[in-house]
Amino acid sequence: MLGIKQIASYIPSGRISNLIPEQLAAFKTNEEFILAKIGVRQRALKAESEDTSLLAVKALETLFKNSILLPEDIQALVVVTQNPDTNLPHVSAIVHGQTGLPEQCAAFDVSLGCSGYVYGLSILRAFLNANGLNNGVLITADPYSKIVNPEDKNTAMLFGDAATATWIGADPLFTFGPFSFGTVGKMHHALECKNGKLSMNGREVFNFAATRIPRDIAILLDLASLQKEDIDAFIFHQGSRYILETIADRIGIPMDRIRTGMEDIGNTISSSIPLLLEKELPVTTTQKIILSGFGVGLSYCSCLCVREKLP
Amino acid sequence: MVSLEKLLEIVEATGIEVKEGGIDPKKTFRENGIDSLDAMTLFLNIEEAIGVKFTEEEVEQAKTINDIHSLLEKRL
Repeated sequence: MLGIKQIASYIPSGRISNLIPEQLAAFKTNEEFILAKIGVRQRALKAESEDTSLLAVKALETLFKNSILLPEDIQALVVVTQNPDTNLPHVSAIVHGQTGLPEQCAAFDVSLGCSGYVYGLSILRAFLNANGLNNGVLITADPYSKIVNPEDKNTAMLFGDAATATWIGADPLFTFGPFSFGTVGKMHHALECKNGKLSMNGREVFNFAATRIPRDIAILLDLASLQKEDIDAFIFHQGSRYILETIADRIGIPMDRIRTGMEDIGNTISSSIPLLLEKELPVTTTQKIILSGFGVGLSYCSCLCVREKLP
Repeated sequence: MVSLEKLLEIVEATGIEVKEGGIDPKKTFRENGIDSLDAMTLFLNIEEAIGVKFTEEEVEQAKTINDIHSLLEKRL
């Protein structure tokens, strides 16, 4: 069965602090609120010269470096992004061209935000299975620094830039499934980008996540015939510390089983889940993980990951 | 009709930390030690408990528990 063999990531070295006194004053907030509720001390920021495809290339090159995967082995490349270099071509084609992938490699983008990684796992494995292929790479690269308005207090202190690359192949560390999917399209205005600027209705997005995600986890556990106590780690999209605590409280799980990792990089959209999953791959006591992404659309998707072997 | 006492019960059940002495329905959320994110939880829990949906404008204008109570009185 095809599953997750390896994950690599690229986090730009640039950082912007969320604790600049002038900004805190302008946004009428304080350090305590930022750390306790937003949970982001500083945000990762790509260099001006690093476009989306370059972040993706750097993550993929790290995957090559850290694994036995070779460019010529890749039969399908999927890039999850909503902030491509340009409207066309697709980012996956640019990455394909810059990393020496074979001509027979399929390459396409998936337009999803924070639910994109979990959707991407399902899409890529289904594509590989449907076509008798064995090796694919799922990349996430969605640098919101391209669209965030630094004067918008609803979004300016949340998002960070990052990219990840996940190798899907045979004899994996983790298999995944079942999945549970959902879309609340009537709320699509709650998180949108118009004229190149991001806007977010914080209350609508909060209500969406606080009500839908606990229900989706219950559905998924039912599909998998498991109880919440059977799950070693929950990796939710890193929307904010407050939303993670709210979801944990509503599901009834202790925070020590919820992985967090946004304090020094921010909410990295579709990369937030694989960045945490990458850290979990070598943790041998972690046998069952639930992934759950939610955001733009408004869209959500959850799945179970089960360890098949140790690294 | 939702009594103020019932509303305060719902607020207490949310588990939001408030200033010592408990919540004062006449004081603003901020004066009660409730920040903007806790206020979102508060509104959501009231919506779920009572079966109403607050508009953005209503949320924007409601600054105290008494304000929420007045809103509910108009609705129910």
